[in-house]
Amino acid sequence: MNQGRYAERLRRLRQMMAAQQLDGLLTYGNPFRKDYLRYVHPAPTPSPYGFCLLTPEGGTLFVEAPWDTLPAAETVQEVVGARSAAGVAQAVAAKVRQLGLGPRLGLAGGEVMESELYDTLRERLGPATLVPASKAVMELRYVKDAVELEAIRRAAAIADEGWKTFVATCQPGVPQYEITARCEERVRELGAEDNFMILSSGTRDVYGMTPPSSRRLERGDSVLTEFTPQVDGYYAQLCRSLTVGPASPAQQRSFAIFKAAADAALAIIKPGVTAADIANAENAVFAAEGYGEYCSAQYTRVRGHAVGLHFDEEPMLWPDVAFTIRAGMVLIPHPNTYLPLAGYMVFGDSVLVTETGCELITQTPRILFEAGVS
Amino acid sequence: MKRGLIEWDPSELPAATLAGRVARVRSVLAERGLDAAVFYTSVAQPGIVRYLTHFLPYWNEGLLVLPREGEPTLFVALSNRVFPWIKGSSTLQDVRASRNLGVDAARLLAERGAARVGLGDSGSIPYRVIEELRSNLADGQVVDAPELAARLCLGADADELRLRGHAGRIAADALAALGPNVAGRTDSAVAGQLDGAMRLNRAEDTLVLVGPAGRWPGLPTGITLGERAHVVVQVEYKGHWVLTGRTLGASADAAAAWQARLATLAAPGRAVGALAAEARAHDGTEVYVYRSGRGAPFTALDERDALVAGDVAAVLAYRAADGDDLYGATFAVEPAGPRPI
Repeated sequence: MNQGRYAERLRRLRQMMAAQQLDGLLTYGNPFRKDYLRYVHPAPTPSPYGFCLLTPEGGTLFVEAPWDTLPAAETVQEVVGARSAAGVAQAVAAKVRQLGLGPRLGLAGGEVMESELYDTLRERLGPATLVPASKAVMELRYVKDAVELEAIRRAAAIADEGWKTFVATCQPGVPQYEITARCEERVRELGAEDNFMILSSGTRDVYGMTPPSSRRLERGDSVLTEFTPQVDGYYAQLCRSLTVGPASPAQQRSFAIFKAAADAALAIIKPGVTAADIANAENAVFAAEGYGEYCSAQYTRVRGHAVGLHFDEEPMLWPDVAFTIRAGMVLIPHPNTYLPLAGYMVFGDSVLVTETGCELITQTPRILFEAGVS
Repeated sequence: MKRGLIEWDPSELPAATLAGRVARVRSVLAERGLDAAVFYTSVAQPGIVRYLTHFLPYWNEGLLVLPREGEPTLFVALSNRVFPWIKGSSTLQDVRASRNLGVDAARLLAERGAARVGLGDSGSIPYRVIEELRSNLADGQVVDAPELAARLCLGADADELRLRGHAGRIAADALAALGPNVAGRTDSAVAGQLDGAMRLNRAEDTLVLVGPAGRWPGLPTGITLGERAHVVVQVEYKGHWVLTGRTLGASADAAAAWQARLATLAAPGRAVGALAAEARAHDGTEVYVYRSGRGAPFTALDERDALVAGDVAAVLAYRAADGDDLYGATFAVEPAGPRPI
């Protein structure tokens, strides 16, 4: 069987299946989360619900019709369609019984599976029992292979281009949702499948980011975003802030702290450090400036995270996360938080962890941008 | 992914309309002797929580506990820093951060002495959430209550139809601006233009499929289109979805004929399997039928399913032979027949 550029990924998956004594591996995706599904079946599908069944010998994709007629990934030899999500689950169960798979069938991505589909599977699988396998698959996903890195680099390049559109759109009087609309158009034109993007605008009254509102930009605003295009299933994230018009001394002062914190993270990232080490390195900068309290959960969610098939991938960078960083992981350390100087601010770049440190994947200048200033 | 304009404007969707929907749920609770209802919501399936409260999780998920009397409580896997946004864009005022939705909801229900709790639309709730609820409440305390969702589906209210109509106009305007000629453009560029135009027109969410002639459209992959191409657009406005599809480069007469045919396929009472078989036998047309639940995007119907009056339905049809046509439209299914939205 020729499974081309995914041969190594499939070999590792099957090795994991053998180690976990799994007779088959079922990955699930729905419109909320498709990351596990796409790890095994990399091609995009419009089907809202889908499964991929990987056995020691082959692979089958199960999706809603008519999307079963679209080109499938080279990781599968067969595509099965059914009219409804429940019908798709029934088809999976029928295949498992036909193949006589069991007694242990791994399930990855099942945490988001709707009870109707889960019950359908459980009742019709025959002797096979569903065994949680998300952690085992996630263990393989932490370190990105060459194909994954290529996709992430393309996503990062689109983030860099998209940010230019973001800056160009941020003029006084423009409503927040127009920024999103212009950026969405641009990143899709460039080939992004999707783009996780939240933003905010304002000054000291801004405590976080949300979907865009109809609020119109004003001179003096800080405008900030997490910009996260998806290419071939993989996300890269860029966090940047800008000011509408020249930055005030407070905005400049605030940004200098965020940049120093991000630099501290980049300086420490290498194989062997923990997620906590990175978070603590960022937080130490804020503490040294007298803003340590703004690194708590009251003001910030995390100090960064990994990216890949999910835009908010494990591990979270946070002081109590002992996860050891490995070469080949892609992280976005971002010290995003609220500071009383100029309100919520964001800053961060996607980085590849190398054998000796880390390499920036996003290439946007690491500055506080000023929009509308010639 | 939800990233369009998400705001609640009571002049557009009055609080009284939302209160009326909640009252319908509470009447079912009273009839069934239930103390509370539990509804799940996520970025992908905002569902009944959206319909009742206007809350839209722009990512992640939540669980709404709606007591028979008193303030509803939303448990949500979002930061407390966005609670002002949640409260400002919905009717919700009691919002609590949660990493274990079922566990936290069960604790609240126990504290409030809820003896019997109904799961609204239980099939759409992740099984792990249901297991968390059941394992943290007494045996028999959690029951399925499909009537909670079914009662809401007994006909769209006037506001729903008006807002669906607005969503339809957003899609139509974007397609009109695109025009029929996309030859030489990539599917990504076409999808980008449609997506951007709809969001600029205040769409909350969009899904655009584009493809060359000769097959169903899909997610854009950068391929260059010819004179004939297929596009399917789904758009959400204030929690109300519509779906439309068309063949770019086809004649206006062909489009009109297909619109008329789609309406005949959205008739209530006929099994989808029979409809599809009939269309296939007639001229090779493949037909798919979808239902848009309250606050939810479209869900595909199975062969044995049939549309009923009160549904909001979409029909998608593709005929490879005789011109290679793809069309889709959304209808309010009424007792007298389908009405285009």
